[in-house]
Amino acid sequence: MNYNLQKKLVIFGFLFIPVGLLMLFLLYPTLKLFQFSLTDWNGISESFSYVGLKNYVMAFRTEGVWDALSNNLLYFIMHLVFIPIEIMVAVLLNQKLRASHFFRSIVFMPYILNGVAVAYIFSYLYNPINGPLNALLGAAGLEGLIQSWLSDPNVVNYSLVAVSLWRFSGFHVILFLAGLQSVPQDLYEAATIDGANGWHKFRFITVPGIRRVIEIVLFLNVRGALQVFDIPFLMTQGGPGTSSSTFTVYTIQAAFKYNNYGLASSLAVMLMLMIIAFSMVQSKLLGGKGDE
Amino acid sequence: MIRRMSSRVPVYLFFILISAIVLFPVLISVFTAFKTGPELMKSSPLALPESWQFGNLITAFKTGNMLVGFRNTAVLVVVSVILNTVLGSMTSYILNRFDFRVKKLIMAMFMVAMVIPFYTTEVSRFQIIKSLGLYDTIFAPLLIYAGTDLLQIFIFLQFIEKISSQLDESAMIDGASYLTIYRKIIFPLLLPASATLAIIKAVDIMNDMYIPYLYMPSKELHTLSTALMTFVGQRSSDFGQLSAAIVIVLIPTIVIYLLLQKYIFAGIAEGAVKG
Amino acid sequence: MNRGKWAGWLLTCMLLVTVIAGCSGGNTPAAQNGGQEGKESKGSGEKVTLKMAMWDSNNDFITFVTEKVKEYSSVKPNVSVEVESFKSDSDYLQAIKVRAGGGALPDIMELKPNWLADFKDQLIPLDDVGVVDTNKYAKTYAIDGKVLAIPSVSFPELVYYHPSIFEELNLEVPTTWPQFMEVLTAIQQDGTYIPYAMGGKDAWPDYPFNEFLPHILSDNENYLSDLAKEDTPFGEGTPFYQAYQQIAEMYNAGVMGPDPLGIGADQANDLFISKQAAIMASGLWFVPTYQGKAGNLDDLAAFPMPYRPNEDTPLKLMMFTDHFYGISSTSKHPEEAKAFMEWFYSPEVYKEYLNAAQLDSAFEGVESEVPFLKSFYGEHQPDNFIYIPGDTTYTELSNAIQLDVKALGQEMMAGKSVDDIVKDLNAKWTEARKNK
Repeated sequence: MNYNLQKKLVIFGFLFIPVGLLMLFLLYPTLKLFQFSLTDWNGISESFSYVGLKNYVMAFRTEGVWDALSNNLLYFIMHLVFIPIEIMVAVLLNQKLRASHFFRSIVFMPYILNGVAVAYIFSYLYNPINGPLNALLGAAGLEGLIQSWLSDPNVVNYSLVAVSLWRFSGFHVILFLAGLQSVPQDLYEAATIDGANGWHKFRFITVPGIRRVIEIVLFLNVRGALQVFDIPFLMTQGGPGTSSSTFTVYTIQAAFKYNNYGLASSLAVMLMLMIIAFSMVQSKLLGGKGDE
Repeated sequence: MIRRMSSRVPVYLFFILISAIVLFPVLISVFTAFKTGPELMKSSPLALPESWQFGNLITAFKTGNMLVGFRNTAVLVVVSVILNTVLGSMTSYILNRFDFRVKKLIMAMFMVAMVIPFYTTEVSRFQIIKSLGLYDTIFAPLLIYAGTDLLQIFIFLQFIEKISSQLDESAMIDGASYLTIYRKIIFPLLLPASATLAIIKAVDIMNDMYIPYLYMPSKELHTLSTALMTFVGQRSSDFGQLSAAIVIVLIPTIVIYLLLQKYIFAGIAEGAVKG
Repeated sequence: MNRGKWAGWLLTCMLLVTVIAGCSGGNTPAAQNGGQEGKESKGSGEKVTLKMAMWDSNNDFITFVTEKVKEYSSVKPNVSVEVESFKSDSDYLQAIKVRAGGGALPDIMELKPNWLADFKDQLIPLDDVGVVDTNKYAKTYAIDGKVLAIPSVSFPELVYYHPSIFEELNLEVPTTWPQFMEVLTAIQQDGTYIPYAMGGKDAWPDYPFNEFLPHILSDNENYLSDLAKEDTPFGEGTPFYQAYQQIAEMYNAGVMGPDPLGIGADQANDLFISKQAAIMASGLWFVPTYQGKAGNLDDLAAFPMPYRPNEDTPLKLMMFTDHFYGISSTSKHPEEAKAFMEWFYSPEVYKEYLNAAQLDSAFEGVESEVPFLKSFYGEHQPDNFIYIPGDTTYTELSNAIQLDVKALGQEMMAGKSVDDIVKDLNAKWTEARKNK
């Protein structure tokens, strides 16, 4: 059989469906998104006209967009703050601990639970009338900490970020744990012989050893934080008012509530660019550190 | 190395605290699911149910369309995971073993796909689904889920790299076609990685609400997520029934998780890290 | 060398597939429809399924409609009608809009009066449907002179209360805003009951105030459209400002329980139904919900929203027209859909619909049987004030500035001042008008 011909056939045959699906369901809609972002289409009517970059200018000048984005920033920062904690938990799990398998299962569990169900569970937990969280604080003698969890504009975003942390931190821990397990044990032993203390081992063996995982988690964090949607959408619809809106919630509302599909498309394009830009900055920063 | 028991106590306490934080919301939902309406009004939400009443669970199961949800979710998960695994491994095989001009371009396209913001692209995607005649059929989400993604390709690529190409070459000397090489050599060796990816994909599909919500509005096509959303929408203040529906939706995921967690952790350790 | 060439082909092929799929998707729905409409046979042989989309907060009503439309198959054996239901209008609206873009609208769809202008390209004129002639409101809501949807019901917006609580605390039914505030404060001071049940976690339950109060206070049914004619229609001296000051007075009086923004509409309803709260404003459609949960209407009465500052002007009652049904222009069976509507709004069927909805009739010659409404009109005989949605210009402006008065209500409950709100609105409104 002629391997050259066969090769062509197999490349074509194997790639046709996956690449076709990719183009059909992901790339083509994205191209359309670029197109719509230059129009004043309302999402329903059969005609639209091109308005140049007006939507982009508009997006920059709209306060609501920035307010929403600042909420995304909170998700990003809080998840960032949690990364050291997550690494610490992973380090502890990596020790020869009795029941460490059990704890590992527990830590990872929130990630696999149905997101819709999780959002509803927390809506109930935060309930102001006979709500479990307030009852718990009451039982612990911490009535002073009781808040209007979902109705105080100054508190609501923290309440929602907490849900996000609850759901995704465990996943990060498991990723870090996997990274730790791939660091060769003899490196630590050699370091011990050289008289390195715990911190030195952590700083010069562990951290470089899991650098790649840190990169992955940071990318997931950027992408996740910028795209947060289902938690505010299901729990508060961005309310009260617009105080817990996020960039994606804002985009969806612009498109479907206010018939401004052009603006929504430009926001979506900007979101893509932001994810790319942030990821590049991050990998630059990390890369620089690695070269030192 | 000396391990003093005392130094371990804070670590255990720490993990017990974490476990409590993780389990608290879930356990509260379970308790609430077994409480009657009047009991919910008067007793503390933290209390155990006075007696374990199955009324809420039965109502939620029957009127919540849960059986249909189970069935559709199961079909979606099984079929799309199989398709996804096959397509993903095929793509990775080609990308690793062959050189051709547009390879970089194809990789770049998969990379772009990683940052596409979902939700807003749905209007254009909807037009495609509609024009293919797939709207309000189970094939719409199936095709969307079946598509492979960059993360999957990366993980497969790492595995294929480890499969020596000498294996391919000796098979070619025996006259095996590329298809046979993929089928008999590559794919079987990718199965351990596939298991993990399949589980992660399955979790994603089980938890997705937006795609079924948009593309399969019919009641007969509800998935667990959309059935839950519909059920909760209809009684958002009856926390007993709400929790019952939540518990029903969570049970299959938790069972699968407990049964398969060995593979999940092994796979994450193998795949996601050694790149 | 060959390799590169064929790979180029591969890519071209795939692009082609994509583009073909894209083009067929991009066709305008109307163009696709044109062909099909012409081909449609009016004969009875062809099997036809009509999809009908609706939403309702009352599950029993959804069940009723779902079952009722099945009976149409006994009138027209070849036609079956399937209901697709949503719980809330916002979920419904989003799903419908995505489908409108893809040309996959249901044959028959429910609409709110203020959506008609948005969907005018997606709806076919119904002027030739016979039942339109006996509809009391269809022509009021015509767009560009064409009836695009048939309203099924009309009902008053009411303020509900528990007479037993008013009796216990010796309270009179208020007819002016100051009296209303007095009543609320008196209940608050007594301390037994929450004066007003507000489900502020969902944005919509504040609509009797934030959406309707400026409208009715203006005493101008075309108020919303008129807003679009001014640059600064929200500032001091306007009905909007006046109404929002009144609303702020109420929201800031602490008469809505400990955390009105923390509880949703359903929970607020439960507070009222279980007599933990004394007063709640809502449309007439709340009565069946109440009856379903409380078992009877013994301790329920209502009065018109006492929006007026004093007794010098007559107190009017906001009437809302709702449950509009239209036929989508992408329907493959518009004639069958029209025939179905003739049946649906025939007096016998419509009467049952009305009784299930427990709302007031929108058709001449069919009277609703709602005892609660009878007793309400027995005690109160206010003039009607018909809710007229804003015109296209108003809709465009309010979409451009993303005006959501119900979300504004939430912000007010969270402490935002009226002056800040109107300043912001005026600035945005002026600019939006300039950009038009």
